Amino acid sequence: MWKKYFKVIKIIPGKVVTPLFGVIDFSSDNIPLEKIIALFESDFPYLQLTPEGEQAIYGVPLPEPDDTAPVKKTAPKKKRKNKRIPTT
Amino acid sequence: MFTDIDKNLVNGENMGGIAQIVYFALHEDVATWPAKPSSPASLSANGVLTGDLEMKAGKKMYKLYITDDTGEYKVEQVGSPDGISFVQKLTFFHPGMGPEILGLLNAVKNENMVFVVADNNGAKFLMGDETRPATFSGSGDGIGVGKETSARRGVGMEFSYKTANVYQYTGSIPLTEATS
Repeated sequence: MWKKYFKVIKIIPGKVVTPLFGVIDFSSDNIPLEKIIALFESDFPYLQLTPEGEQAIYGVPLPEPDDTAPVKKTAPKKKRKNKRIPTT
Repeated sequence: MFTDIDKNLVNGENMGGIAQIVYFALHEDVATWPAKPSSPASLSANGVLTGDLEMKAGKKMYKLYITDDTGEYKVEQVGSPDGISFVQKLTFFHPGMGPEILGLLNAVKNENMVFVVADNNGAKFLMGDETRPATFSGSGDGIGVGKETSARRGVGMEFSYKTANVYQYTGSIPLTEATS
């Protein structure tokens, strides 16, 4: 489910020794979203929010259909008060 | 910047030695390096690198298994007053005389390398920076098949990295290839 909200960037999805959780295989679909969010918010360099992730986790409205601007990783500020973790 | 320093052992942990995996790559395959402290506001900020080591497209870091209790990461002071710096040394022993470890030995003996070494308390140390690599500096505990049947057969290696300061590395280690 996490791949709906985050995209792996700058590497082929695979194993990375992460500072927070040790080795994580980013080719797996079954990484807890809480871990992904914690990595993203700690400036982990290989994750980027998708528009769906911005909306679902940080409450940022989805872009208009004709808006093709890429989503920047730095767009959402860390530890927003309205952060929510989707359950589905 | 100076502060009091207490015992500061997290959960009382202070085990010796390094983990049984060290991570390595060619120095030239690194795209970006973590940053050294610049005007650090605290002692702790003056002892840690910021950011991640990232690889060039198609490159990654590799794992090397070492025999338990044979690996050592050591920092030695060198230089004279007003010219003090450090040499970090990594020594380890890999069991066996297989073609892979011999191939590694042959490949890296004159190469510029980078290593990430994790100790047994979770701290990591980066051997190599933007301007200086880690280089092969000896065979550590030796290379060979031993003399007695009880002897240790395998490949020892030592790598040295000369650096002005010593830092922890808190970034990630990519074990999958970077993309362009």
